[in-house]
Amino acid sequence: MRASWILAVLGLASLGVLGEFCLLSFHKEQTLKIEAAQVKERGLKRSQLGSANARMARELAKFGDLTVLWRNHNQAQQIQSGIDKLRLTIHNLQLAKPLPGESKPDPVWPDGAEVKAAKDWAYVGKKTPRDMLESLLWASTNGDVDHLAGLITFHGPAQAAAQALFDQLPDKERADYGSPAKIVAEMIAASMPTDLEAASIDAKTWKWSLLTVRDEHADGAQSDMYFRADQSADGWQLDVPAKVIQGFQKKLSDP
Amino acid sequence: MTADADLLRRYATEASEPAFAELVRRHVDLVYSAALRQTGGNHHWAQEVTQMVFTTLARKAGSLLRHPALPAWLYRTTAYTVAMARRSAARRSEYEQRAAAEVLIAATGTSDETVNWAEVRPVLDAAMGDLPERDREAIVLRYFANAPLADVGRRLGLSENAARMRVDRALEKLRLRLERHGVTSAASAAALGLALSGQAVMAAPVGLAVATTTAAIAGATTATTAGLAALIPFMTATKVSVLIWTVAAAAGVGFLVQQQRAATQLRSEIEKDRSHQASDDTLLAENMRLQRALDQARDLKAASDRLAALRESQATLNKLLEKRLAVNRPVLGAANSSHPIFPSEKLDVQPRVLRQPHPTYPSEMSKSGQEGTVMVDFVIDEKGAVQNAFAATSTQSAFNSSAVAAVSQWVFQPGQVSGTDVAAHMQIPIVYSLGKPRARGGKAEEFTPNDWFTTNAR
Repeated sequence: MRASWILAVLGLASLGVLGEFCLLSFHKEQTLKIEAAQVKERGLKRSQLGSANARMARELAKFGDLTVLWRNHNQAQQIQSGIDKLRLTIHNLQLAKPLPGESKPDPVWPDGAEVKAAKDWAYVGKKTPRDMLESLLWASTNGDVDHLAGLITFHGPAQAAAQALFDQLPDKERADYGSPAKIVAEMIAASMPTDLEAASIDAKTWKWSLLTVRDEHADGAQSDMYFRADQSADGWQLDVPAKVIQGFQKKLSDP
Repeated sequence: MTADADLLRRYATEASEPAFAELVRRHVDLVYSAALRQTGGNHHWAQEVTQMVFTTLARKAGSLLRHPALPAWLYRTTAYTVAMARRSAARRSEYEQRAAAEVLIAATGTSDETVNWAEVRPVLDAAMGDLPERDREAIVLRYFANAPLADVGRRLGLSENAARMRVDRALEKLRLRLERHGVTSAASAAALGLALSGQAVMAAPVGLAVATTTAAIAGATTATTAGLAALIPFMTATKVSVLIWTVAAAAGVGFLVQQQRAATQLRSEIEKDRSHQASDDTLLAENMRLQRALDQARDLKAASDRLAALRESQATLNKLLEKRLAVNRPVLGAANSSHPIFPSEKLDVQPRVLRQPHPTYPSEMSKSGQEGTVMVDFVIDEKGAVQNAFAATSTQSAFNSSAVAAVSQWVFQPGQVSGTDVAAHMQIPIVYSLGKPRARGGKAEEFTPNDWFTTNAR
């Protein structure tokens, strides 16, 4: 009986171990099956990707020499820019001396431009060049020198010019402004046209941003203004050139 | 004849095989016969039981040296061994026992006119078991061991007559117990005694004594009394279990092998895929590059396709501009005494520019790298607007329209004579250089916000 028990226990243990191996093997195979399914899917995607690449390469070849297209593209951009300016010029001429029976022309805006009325301008911060410029237009037209000072910056000669401008102020004025940025901001606000009705802002941004503002004055005339903005740690700021500050200095010296 | 006790002593103390062989020879018939009856006539089983009984005797020889009636002990041990074996071999059916008994009956037949031995045989040992120990010993010695009454008396410590009396009384008791077991043919104790003398002990198969002696002595050191009895069902059970386990193990191993094969194949596929992963990255990068290139090419193509239309629009607008400029020009002749036009040197206060859009550098001129100067002649009226602008002179006529158009948009604070706003005649050169086109000279160089950014006409 004891031998029977021992054999039975040994047999059961062996079967148990075998069963465990079978379970482990089964589990492993299931895992491998899942992985194999993923492999199959990847293979399918690989095949699809290869086909797509071949198709796109064929399609791309149909365009021929891309340098020709690039040349045409650049030319088209130049012509488009010229057209915008022509339209602006004609608009202003038409406004200055309309032909007999000719009504006041509608304002002309660049294609696709987002036009915002002056009454809708607001301080929207300086997270983007466009935001900064809207904030600047709002601060200038509202004479908010404190906000405006936070939207401008100077570099190199401009910094020296701003300091010189500040230094030439009487002691009391210097104390009132407190910094070169404040006096420059006030001069910008003073020189900004006061009859602006609306504007569109176009921003072309790389490391710095080129901003074009097409404005509309109260008399219907339109003009373009150009600005450059630089990115700082706390957002975008208007880069005030040295010659502008020198202009301010001249204006203060010879009003 | 040497007494059983002496033979046992020799075996127990000297391991004398001849002594043990003599004991087996003397009692093998008794044990075999009892075993045969009690196993239902199964000869094979009876032989095994006989071997087990003598194995037990060999193992316990030392403790049986003082036993007064060895045949009685053998008889009782036989009954015990058969009972144990019967319990262990439960699967042996009653049917088989009966069949075996019938075979035995057929073989032996009825040996006594008064007692039907076939009726007695199945219940004899049960009835024997019911007897008191001393009566059973007496019957065993007298009828199973075929001992003379004198020998029975000596073994039981009685005189011969007392031994006869003990045997007769024991026989009568046995007859009564057989009747209780349903035996009707044992009419008297004498008839029963006669039957027992003839049938109770039959000769064991030839060679059984020798085989039993060898097996008992060999097995005495290791075998247990229940060994064979347990081994029978165990062997049977083991065979089934081993079969089941073997099948299960084979199935398990087969499953493992199959799994291993499948796993190997799957691993191979996965490994093959891994070798493609680098090309996957390349394919994906190529896909993204092609997608970008294609999008760009489409945009370029669209721009290229628009080129003709843009050129047409530009030509139309240029014609319109020329027309506009022609409209403005005759105004100069309209000046009269009520609206005098003063030359700039006659003014007390020079006009001051308020708004000064830059001229556009004609694209065809910039593309061909040509520069030039246009002298623009114009009048600033009393309201500060530019009138009658036209190109007085120019180095390149292609610049004329651009220069006149720009100046025409300028807005001034009018000049003054004696504190009154008056119209003033001005001429300003517009210089086109691939640096920057600018108005030069006069008050037109006043700063305006438009001047913040250096304008290239391109």
